[in-house]
Amino acid sequence: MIPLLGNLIFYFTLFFIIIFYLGWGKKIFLQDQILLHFIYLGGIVPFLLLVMGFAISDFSILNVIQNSYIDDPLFYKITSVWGSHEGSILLWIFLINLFGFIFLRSNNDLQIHKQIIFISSLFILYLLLSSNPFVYVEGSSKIDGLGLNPILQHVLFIIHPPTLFLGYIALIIPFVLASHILATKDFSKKFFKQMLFWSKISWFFLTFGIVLGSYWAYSELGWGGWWFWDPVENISLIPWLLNTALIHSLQVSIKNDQLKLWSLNLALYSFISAVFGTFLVRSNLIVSVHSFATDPLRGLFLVVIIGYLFLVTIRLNIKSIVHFNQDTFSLVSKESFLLLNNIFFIAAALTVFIGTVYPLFSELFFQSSVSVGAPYYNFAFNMLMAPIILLMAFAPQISWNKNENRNNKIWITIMAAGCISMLTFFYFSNFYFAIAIFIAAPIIIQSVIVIFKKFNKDLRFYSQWLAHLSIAIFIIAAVFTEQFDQEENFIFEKEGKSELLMNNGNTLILKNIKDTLFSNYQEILVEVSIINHQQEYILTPSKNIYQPSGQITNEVSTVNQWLNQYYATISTIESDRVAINLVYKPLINLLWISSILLVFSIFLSIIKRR
Amino acid sequence: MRIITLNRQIKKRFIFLCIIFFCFSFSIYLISYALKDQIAYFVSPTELQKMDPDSSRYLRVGGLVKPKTLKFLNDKWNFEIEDEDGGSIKVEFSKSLPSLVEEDKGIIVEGYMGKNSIFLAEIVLAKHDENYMPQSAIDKMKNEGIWRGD
Repeated sequence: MIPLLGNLIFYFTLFFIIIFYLGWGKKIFLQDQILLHFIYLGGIVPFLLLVMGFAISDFSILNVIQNSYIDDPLFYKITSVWGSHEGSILLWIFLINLFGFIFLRSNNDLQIHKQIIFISSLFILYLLLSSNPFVYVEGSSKIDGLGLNPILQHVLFIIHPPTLFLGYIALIIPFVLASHILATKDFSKKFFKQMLFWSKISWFFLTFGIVLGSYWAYSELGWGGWWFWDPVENISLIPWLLNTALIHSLQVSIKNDQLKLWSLNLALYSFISAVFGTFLVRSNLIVSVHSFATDPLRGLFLVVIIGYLFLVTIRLNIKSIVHFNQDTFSLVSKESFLLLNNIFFIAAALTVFIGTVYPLFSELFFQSSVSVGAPYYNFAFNMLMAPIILLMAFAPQISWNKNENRNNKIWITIMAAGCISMLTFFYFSNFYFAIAIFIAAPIIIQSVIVIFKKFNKDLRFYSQWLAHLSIAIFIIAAVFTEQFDQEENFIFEKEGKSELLMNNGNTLILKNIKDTLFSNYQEILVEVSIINHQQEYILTPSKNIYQPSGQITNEVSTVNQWLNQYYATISTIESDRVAINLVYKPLINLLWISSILLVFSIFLSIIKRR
Repeated sequence: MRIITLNRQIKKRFIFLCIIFFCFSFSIYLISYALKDQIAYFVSPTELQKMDPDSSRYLRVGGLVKPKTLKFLNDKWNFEIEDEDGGSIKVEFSKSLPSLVEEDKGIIVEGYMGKNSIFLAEIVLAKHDENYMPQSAIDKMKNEGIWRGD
């Protein structure tokens, strides 16, 4: 029933889209907007149908058999929808149409919606032709389903993929708005305001999605920690960087009519980079720790979609060169600083892009397979980010379009930062941490000064202030946790002691080994505790054996000690001994707190508009 | 031919664009030149054996875990990685191994070459796959006639 319905709705939607393009909407539905509603609903409903199919374990759907297990908990059953390639493309279509539907409330210009619908129809065709989740199978009552990949059975699997997708797809609205503006040459402010609103929405979800993914990778063994420069991480970073640049340049465009074409072109490329990134990982052209669909045909279809978007963009780029207006602002003004920030952000995005696609390029043209890893990014990316971070301390205080006298306070702040960084170097004797302090300190110093000076400003000021400050805190926390983590291994023999002394003077006690049976897995749990000054910290790393596959996963257990964290895993568990690997990660929680503050800051700036 | 008739302002802009483009490409050229060594850091065990043992470069090694070599000795995991060309390299890893590491299965490690030609791994990567499927389940689906994979 559901497979039939899902397919039918998609075919009807395509039919409606054709009617819309033929311009018969008015004749048949009285109003084009009514037809638009139908089309958008046609893109929204199939996803909900599949969700229902998963919820009731309808094993007449092949996708349900392949990705869910009858005894999985309900929320894993539902979220298994985006566990497969087909399901995530369906989610992609769902979100395009959802955003289109919401956008219809604030802007019902048919030309703009025409483009959203066109992109959506490309994805619908892609889904129907190459990755249809609504495939009907018969006579499969004996089957219990294959189950969701045990590694994906994590709370974050429920929210991380949809959040990231929300972030990617919200960029479609700035994309269509920008191409509409460039096509009609109507540079009115309301369009730019809508663009800013949607790129902020996207930024909120994108940042949140990346942070969630980062946290997930951190808490899973073998995924390379909180950031690893894996292609999948990179391709989510590229739209993030471009979108960050976009938000900044849009401020200039709205405030005093400058950098307009710059913003428009950025908007075009932000969305393309999001689609392109999805294509790269989905087509399996680039090897990543993640692995998705392996079918080259699927990749080919996505090439068509990207090709279309590129053609649109390049045509508009060429058009926009002709329309260059006169941007005039003085050298030391907010505008020029924001332009500088944009250039660095784009350059950073380019370095990430080049690092990510270089292996593909080299394989195609030099027949040699190479791999670009952390050493490249840590150098190239950080080199480009450092000037942005330094700019961030001072740019917000500079006034719009005014050639101010050079402010002496800048030099005082930089000198102060230099002193603090020297002190940290002598105290911690770590070069990288001292550099991080030097880069981050000016923002913190300026933030403290500014918050006292401009106490009663609007929310917008606070959101910007908080965003910049949290970036500074993030840098400090990230470098600190990477530079000062400590690792130790402990082996408890069967006949030996159950208390071991740790390097830092604390005691590690083996308390218990438990064996529990859950609905879809068996858990072997080791309970250890760290005794530090009468304080007890309990850790419970485990190994889970999943049904029906028999696959074993190694589960991490963490315990917080203020901003620091102990991170424990079972190295091995045998009949006569247990080996525990314990890592002390200092300030790691500060890293998560600053990331959440960053997400919260953009939330502040979104709600102030309402 | 319209481009030629554009006014001077636009020409200026065009030159400005070219300058930005030039700056970008130049910086990228510099970066890739400086990192030439690090770009090719993914090596096979055979290549690693041929390399200078004293180089302290951070490397990534990929291959198969040689059967019957995966052991937990003296609080460390020990195993050998081999490749199709017959090369193999001993690896030591002092953290917990990710779930999917098994003998005769693919593995990717990152770290430095240590003494006695033992590779000291700092990171072991596990690939997670949405298309994972236990063999028993595949057989079952084949029996039911609904298997559509390879």
